[in-house]
Amino acid sequence: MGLVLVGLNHETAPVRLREQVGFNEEELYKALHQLIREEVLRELVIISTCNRTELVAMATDDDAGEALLASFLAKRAGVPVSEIREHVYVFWGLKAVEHIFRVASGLESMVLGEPQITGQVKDAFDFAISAGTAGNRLSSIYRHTIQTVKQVRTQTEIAKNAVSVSYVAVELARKVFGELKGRRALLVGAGEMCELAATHLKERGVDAVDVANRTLSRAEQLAGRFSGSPYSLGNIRDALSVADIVVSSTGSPDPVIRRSDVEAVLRSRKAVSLLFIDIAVPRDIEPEIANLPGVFLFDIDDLQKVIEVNREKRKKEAEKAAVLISKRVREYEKWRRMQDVNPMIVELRRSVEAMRKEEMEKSLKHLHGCSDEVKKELDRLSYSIMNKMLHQPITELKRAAREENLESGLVSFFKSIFKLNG
Amino acid sequence: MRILYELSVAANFVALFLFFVFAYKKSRPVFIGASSMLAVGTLMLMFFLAIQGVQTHSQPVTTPFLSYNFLAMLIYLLYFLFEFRFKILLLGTFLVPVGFFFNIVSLFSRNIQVAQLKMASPFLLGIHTGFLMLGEALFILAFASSVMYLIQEKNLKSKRFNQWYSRLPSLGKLEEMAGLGVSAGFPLITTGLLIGFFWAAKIWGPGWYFDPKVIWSTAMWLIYAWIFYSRVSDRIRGRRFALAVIWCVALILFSFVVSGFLPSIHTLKQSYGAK
Repeated sequence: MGLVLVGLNHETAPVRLREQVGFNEEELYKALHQLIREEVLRELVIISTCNRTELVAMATDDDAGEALLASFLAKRAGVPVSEIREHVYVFWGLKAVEHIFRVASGLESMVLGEPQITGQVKDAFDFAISAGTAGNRLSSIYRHTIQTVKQVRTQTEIAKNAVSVSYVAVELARKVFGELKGRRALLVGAGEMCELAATHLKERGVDAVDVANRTLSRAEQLAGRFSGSPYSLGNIRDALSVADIVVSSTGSPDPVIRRSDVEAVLRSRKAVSLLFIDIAVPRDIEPEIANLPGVFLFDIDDLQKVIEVNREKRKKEAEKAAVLISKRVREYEKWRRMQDVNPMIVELRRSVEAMRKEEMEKSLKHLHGCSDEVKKELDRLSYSIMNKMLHQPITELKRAAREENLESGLVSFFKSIFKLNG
Repeated sequence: MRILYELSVAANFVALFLFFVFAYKKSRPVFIGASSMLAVGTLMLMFFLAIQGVQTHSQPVTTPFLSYNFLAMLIYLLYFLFEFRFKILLLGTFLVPVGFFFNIVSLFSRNIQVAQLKMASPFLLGIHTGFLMLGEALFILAFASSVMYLIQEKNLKSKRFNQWYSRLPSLGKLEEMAGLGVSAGFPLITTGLLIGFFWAAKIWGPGWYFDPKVIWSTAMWLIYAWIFYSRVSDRIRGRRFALAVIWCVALILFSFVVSGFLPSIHTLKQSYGAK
């Protein structure tokens, strides 16, 4: 029985195919139960996100399993199998394990290192376990996947550096202020970008997000969501006087915040730093304010520059993560072999123990009238000899399983001399 | 005995070198090596000072040589304390060189005979200099934080998103650390000076305050007081606070040199401990 993985993602398939083969929860449940009824499949997990669909199965026959999964995807996409084969990738055995580790760690994601994929992989395995289609083998891969992701996250900085405009805004705010708890943000404009940045800032601990907008009702609506106060653009100085972080994105052709506004506000602020993030084009904030003491100004080009630098850093970290994952796959392989050899060891001990007991009974028949103490001592002696005799063979068997494989000469030799089935 | 001290200086020098390597080549093993080497050097320095104190029956701050090394030891200990608290891996690159500077300065300081030492090591002298040294070590820590602050502020202002931008902590954290150094350092320096004044008035009698070293120390204290007041009253913050701390500590370092040349009743070869 072997592991087989068939899938497609944003790099191998166009969106028209990806959207066809994606699953919602109800469809997922049906698909799992439909496929697991097939003779060739023993266990099954389906990972389905907006950018990928992957079927992971334990199959009694590798080729038949792969053919079944590919034809299932083709049918779902409504295309011939030959066409779906142009867009899917297939991994078997340890390559499949490595691929799952890489996917869950974000190494195969569109945004390298993004953390959401870990949750999606976890959900997929949990769903299959609760649906009863994931058994021991896939559950053990799941456990190793989660351990690997933890190692990748703690030993590399793959997810540390922000690669989206809204997250970069938060990163810059944290570079200036450190902890954002106790800080107050101001959105100038109530567009989608500002809203996203406000959500991230609030998640990172900002106390309140005020909103200054041309339409006061929209400002009131948005400020209410982030425990802030609404302002009209005419009262921008009042809003600035209490803000620490300003994110601006209006459609105004002229600057909304001028140097004179900031100068007036700085006088009452006791030199507390003020961070401006201007993501509007044309810009909302006069660039001259960057020369004022304690004022930091970043426009959309600066943010893009940070994103580029961070992408490069993530690429470097991804190389480290790949090495770590290869190591984890080798560890998984050793662990897997140990799992395979354990039933053999149990059987070996059981058969030798049966021999010992048989011989003990024979001997005791000849030893009439001996005391219980002598019987006990004989039992201990034979048990001790058995353990000592088995110690080295078992150690060697484990080593052979770890370093070679169950078909190796040594393992076969063991099977034949002890008449083991494993 | 001397070998312990020499080994300590050697270990601290290796640590200093490794901290510089770490600054240019981000490598966790190098950082661990640097911190471990500094821990070994600091422990040896502590043992050396303790043994020296036991052998001479005096506190480890009764000669310029011991005082400078005591100050270096405090700086190293503060490094471990603040690195543990703030997790700023680059702190060693900025703080350890100052500690090592005092290790080196001590080698050129005047050598004082043990007999004189015994006479010149009353309990109050140890407390007086001990408080002063700890206060100054905390100001030196604030100095290292302020230097890092200025570098990071420059990165942000000029939009340089380089390696230093990534590795240096936030301005908020650096200012907090510098503020902590000043807020904790000033009361200790003040206590040390007051104990010194009390002790001087007791053993030297009227006119003790005309001593040039006492006058110089009082002038220095006024600068410390100004920075402390500015900090607690939030009068200056950010870049201006960082600059003020750097100037202040530069003056401290300068005062170490100046006070060495000032004629003073502090000088042991004169009537130390006698009216």
